[in-house]
Amino acid sequence: MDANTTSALISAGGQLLSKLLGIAVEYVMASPEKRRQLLQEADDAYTFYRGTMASLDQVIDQNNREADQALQDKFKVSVDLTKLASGDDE
Amino acid sequence: MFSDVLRRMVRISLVLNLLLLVGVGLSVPSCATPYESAKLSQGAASRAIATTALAWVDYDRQHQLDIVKNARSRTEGLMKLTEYRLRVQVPVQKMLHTTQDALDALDSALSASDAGKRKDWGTVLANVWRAAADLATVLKRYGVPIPLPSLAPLGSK
Repeated sequence: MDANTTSALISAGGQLLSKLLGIAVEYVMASPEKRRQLLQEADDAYTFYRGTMASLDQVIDQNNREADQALQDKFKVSVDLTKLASGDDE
Repeated sequence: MFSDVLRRMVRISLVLNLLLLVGVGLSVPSCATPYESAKLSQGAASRAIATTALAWVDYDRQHQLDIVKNARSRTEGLMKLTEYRLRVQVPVQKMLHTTQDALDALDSALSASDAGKRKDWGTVLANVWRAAADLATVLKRYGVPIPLPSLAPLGSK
């Protein structure tokens, strides 16, 4: 190994060292923020969930009413058509 | 002589780099604190169950309207709607409320300031997973095409 190669290797090693130090510093700086962000997302998800569940029963009741009404409408029309066909328009 | 010194310096430099690499790897905390883990799990479960609940009410509405659409008489429609509500709707709704109870218990445990309740995180979290698994089972059993989204804690890969 000649002096130039050795010098280049030392230089590369130094750059790697400083890069690794940079990563470590970046992690230490960024990590708490990232954690805060994730914890905030968790809080938001729970709030969203609470809102969804608060209206769950009402939405299901509404679905039931809508289906009952649709059934009533469907067969009411059929009865009316039968009445019309038989000439009984009352 | 000069070459030997340089060679030794290179070796030392490489060893130092390796040690630093290992050091950085070990010093980076790979996971959150127990509180953060429980909180992130709560967030993931909330998101998964809320998404499932929303998909479920859409499915419920459409399925009931399909029953009405396919009914050949009012009596048949009423019977099929009643049968669907008792056999599928009520159990799913009940399971959604069970998951709600489990998640609310986890929230209470996470908000608790006393150490005794803090120890319960693991237990209440396990109840959340169990309730979510039961919900997924009920949906599958009744052929409801809604998969439960991932329950992996937020931020995990």
